[in-house]
Amino acid sequence: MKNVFTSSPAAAPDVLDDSLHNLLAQDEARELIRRAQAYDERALTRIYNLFADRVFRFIYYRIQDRPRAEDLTNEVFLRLLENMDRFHLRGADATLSLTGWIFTIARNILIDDYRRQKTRAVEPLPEMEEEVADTNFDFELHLTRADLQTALAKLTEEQQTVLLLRFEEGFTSAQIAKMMGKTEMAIKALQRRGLATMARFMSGKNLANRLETTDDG
Amino acid sequence: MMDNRDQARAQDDELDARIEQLLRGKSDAAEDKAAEERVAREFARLAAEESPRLSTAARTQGLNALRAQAARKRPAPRPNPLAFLARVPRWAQMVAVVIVVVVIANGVTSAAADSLPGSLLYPFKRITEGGQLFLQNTNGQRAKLWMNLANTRLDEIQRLLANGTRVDPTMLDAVDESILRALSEIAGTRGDERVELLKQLTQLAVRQQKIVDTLAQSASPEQRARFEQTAKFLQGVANYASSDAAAGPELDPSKILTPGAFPGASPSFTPTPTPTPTPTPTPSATPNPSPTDANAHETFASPTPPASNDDGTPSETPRVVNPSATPPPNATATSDDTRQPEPTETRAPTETREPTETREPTETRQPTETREPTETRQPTETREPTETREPTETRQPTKTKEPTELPQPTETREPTETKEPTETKQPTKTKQPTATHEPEETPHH
Repeated sequence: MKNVFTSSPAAAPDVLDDSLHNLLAQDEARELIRRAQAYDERALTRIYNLFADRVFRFIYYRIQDRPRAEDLTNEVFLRLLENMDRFHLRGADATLSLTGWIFTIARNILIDDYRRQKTRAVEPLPEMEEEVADTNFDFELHLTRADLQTALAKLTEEQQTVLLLRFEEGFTSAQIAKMMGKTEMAIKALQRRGLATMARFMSGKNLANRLETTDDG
Repeated sequence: MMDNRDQARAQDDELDARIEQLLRGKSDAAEDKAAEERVAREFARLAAEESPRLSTAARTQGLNALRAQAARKRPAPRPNPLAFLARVPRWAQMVAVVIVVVVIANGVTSAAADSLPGSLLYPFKRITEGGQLFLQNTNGQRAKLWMNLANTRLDEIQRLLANGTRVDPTMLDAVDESILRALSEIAGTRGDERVELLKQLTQLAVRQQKIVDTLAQSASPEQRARFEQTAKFLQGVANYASSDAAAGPELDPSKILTPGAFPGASPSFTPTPTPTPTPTPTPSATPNPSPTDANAHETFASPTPPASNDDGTPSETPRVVNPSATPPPNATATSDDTRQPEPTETRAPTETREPTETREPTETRQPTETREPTETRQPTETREPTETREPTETRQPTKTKEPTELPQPTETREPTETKEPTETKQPTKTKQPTATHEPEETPHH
């Protein structure tokens, strides 16, 4: 797929410096997958050590419950093991293929968990077509992690996934597109809409805070 | 409508590019325009800070669960009757397999060893013999093996006759050939080993000759001729071997009579075939050896005293020891019950050697010079078998086999000689170009 719409002046390479590719080279990824499919313990341990923290972050950002996030993280790897024989490399990038697969499992685990809990809707907010009126965007933004998590919870599941993979894991839009099986344009659109929704939520919260302070004053 | 979509795409791209800069730390907060960019900046800042990590306890628990699950998923050992082998170490399994193979091979080999021509296992027996030959390293070992094989062949014939089976005449060829092979291998031995082997060959030939003689008596008329032919051949070999064994210890190994031609150099052995065409030169041949022997004794007859000492030490074969001093009588007595004349001829040279006991010069290299006389001598001794063979035309092929194999070395020798001329040629070649060059240049000038 041609990156016709990537107008990035930074000419971003496919791989960021701190990305998984530095930890897991293509050849090693292939070998790792092959051995893991034979249920080789060392290969599985290596996969766990490479991805456990990332998967945990991915889940924890969304459910804000540490013990449950840890349980779900471990559940991801058990499900990975269960489906190991059904995994097939997609595309030339073995590392990306494996990563995308693991995050897809994490997403499915999260969705299953949402259904089990019934406490939170998978899609908390309806999609907004129009953009935020950024001309009026003048609040001083300083988010905490909790703020971020709260705002993130207002997004659709896909938006959450895109933003977490983009910001937390440092993948490019093109890489995320491959992992999620979408076009790069779709990823970029999800990214902007998600951020816009968060900004709108922040601005509303900010406004509410101001109103509270003015009432107090 | 289309404009809105394009505009949205442009905004998506622009924001994505800004985020890319942001994540690389190449963007300034003052450049942020849209609210999304500010949120993205906060997002990136928080992500760059310390990220939440899986607790150690959860990690341990997760890894243990993963490993346990993997152990369950790993292909379970199938319940099969050989499952108990899994507990046996791999090396032990391999050893067991090797043992089984060896036992089976041994069984087949030993079973084949008793087989007779015509049986299923007989080809295996011959193959095994060939393998044994392959395993022998020295001429002496091969000679012994060939003698054993000659015994085996004769034994087979005996057993076949005892069974009332018809004996194929070619089986006697095999006996002849084995003995001839033993002879040719002995030719490659030296010193005491050679003497010992020749004595063994003598005993073998004598024993076999007797057997063949008895077999001939009980054989059918048409087979009798063939048996007698082999008997004659064996007798000739016995005569030859005994005479040579007698001469052996006293001579420098390279100078021994006919076989002496063999050890001196393998190519020198090739002349032996030639004698068959010219059997007559017996008188001329016999005189030659004696002079050469005399020369040998004059120049370097040192071997005789040490040889006698060596003969004394090996007490295993007392018969042989004594004969060294007086070998011809013993040999002749055992081998020639009926035909003493021939051995007497061979005895003469041995006797002539004994007197010459000069130990002074121990230069063994000279024999190479005296090879030529040894070559002339070969015809005389090899002729003895040829004489016995002449009556039978069938044996000649067996004899001719050896010559055909051995002549090759002689051919190889010639090239080595011709090499020298080639070397001399090269310089002349190099000169030629230079010579041709000059004339070319001169016309130009």
